[in-house]
Amino acid sequence: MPYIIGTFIFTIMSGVLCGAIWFTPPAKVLGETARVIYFHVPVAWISALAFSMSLWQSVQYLRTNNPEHDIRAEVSARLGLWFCVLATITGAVFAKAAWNMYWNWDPREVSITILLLVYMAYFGLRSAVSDPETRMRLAAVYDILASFAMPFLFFVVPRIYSSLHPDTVINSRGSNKILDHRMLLVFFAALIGFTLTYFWIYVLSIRVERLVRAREESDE
Amino acid sequence: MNSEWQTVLICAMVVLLGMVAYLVYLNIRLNKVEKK
Repeated sequence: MPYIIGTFIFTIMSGVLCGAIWFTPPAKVLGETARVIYFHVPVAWISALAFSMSLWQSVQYLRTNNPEHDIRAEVSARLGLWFCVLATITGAVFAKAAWNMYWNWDPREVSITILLLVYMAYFGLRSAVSDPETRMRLAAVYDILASFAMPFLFFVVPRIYSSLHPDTVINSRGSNKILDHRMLLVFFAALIGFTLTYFWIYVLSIRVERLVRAREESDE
Repeated sequence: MNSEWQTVLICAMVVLLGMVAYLVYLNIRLNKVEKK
């Protein structure tokens, strides 16, 4: 079964890569550079999904006191942070092409930097507390607070202040006129492919983390 | 290859290599545990 799932994910991701390069036409406004959305947007979406999953697992931990939920919350927050870094790097590469600067303190760039710092602090907190029970409880509470900041920083701040970020390419007041059907097909295939990849890496990470904690407990 | 295509390919490589790097990190973490 894992091989079938792995093959399926590999096929979708290969299709997305080929589709992004050969199948889709250039966009009307951004030209060939618009192909970045097939990578940058799904990665940012995975980041939001992973942080939301981390929130859910932290709530579950506080409800049940089951360390398994803490493992899942930590793993998902780590994945969210990693995908957030990838979204920041790809965004900076796009900014260089579109605005001739890697970093220009656009509201979107500032909000993602704050988000990165918020979740780095989560891991700082985890490593600062030695007692496992206290660490898991504190981390869960902090994770819930951080997750409330996440949608605000991801979706609200960049829309309050005027930003150069090209949101309107995809969601210009609900219309998709700038993306034709081939671009939409590859875009949604990319979202599905990246989401499946996230869940695959998430399950692998949980298994590894379980082993790490079991070994740490046996050492103590 | 013009700069627009370079941007697209760099972004694709960053994302794909980023995911591979995370899997390598997991593997290293697993090997460390097994060696202990």
